[in-house]
Amino acid sequence: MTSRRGADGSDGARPGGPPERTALSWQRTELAVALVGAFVAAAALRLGVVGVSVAAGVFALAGVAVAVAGRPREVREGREEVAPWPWLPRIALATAVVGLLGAVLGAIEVVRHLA
Amino acid sequence: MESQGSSAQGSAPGSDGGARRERRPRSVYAVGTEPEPQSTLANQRTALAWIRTGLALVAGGVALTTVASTADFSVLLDLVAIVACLGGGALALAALASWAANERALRLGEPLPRPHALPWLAGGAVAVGLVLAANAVIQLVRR
Repeated sequence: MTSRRGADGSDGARPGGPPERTALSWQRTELAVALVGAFVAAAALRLGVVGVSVAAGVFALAGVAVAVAGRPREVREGREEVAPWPWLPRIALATAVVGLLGAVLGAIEVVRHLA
Repeated sequence: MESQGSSAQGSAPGSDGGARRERRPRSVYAVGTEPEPQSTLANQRTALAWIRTGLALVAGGVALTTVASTADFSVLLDLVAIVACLGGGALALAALASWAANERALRLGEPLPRPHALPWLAGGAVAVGLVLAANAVIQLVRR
């Protein structure tokens, strides 16, 4: 397998192959975290829940920063490759926290409905 | 498995050179041999696709909360929204566990474990769809 890979970790035989697809997948996911974070922040601001809005806004900015900074990479056996760790748990945790913030927003709305 | 026969270094099982000691998580990279790069990259993309699915669930939940707040809708919508948001977050964490289990299976040359989250996601989507449809019918009948 090593014979087909270039020094930059790309699949030399097929430009736009799996490494590039994976890097693009990382960027899509980071931008999705940013987008959903911004959405939660905007919805919370509209509903008057400032605390949730600020927290979700921070996650949105962090998602944008990571996406702009470039794909997660590691140097392995002299080659640069997309590194799943520790970015995968971080992005999964960020998604879980954004989901939790969305659930808090829903719970606040339930309390308001019942009050 | 084919990948076992074409280990990057062609070394004995369990030896990946010095790089393996530096790689985390150790529960994944301390076992087996290096699989085909295409397989491990596809495993990453699958995990990321699951995380994006979780994010879509969260976005849908927040959209439901926003819609429910614009008019005098039932509390049911807010409850569905909460379940969607929590489900989305749980799906992202499940994606992480699934990535680790798949990577281990790839390294050990074992069959890939079944996607545990898939039946839950499909069942949940059907259940939420039915609940929202029933709610819409009830609202129409009341008018």
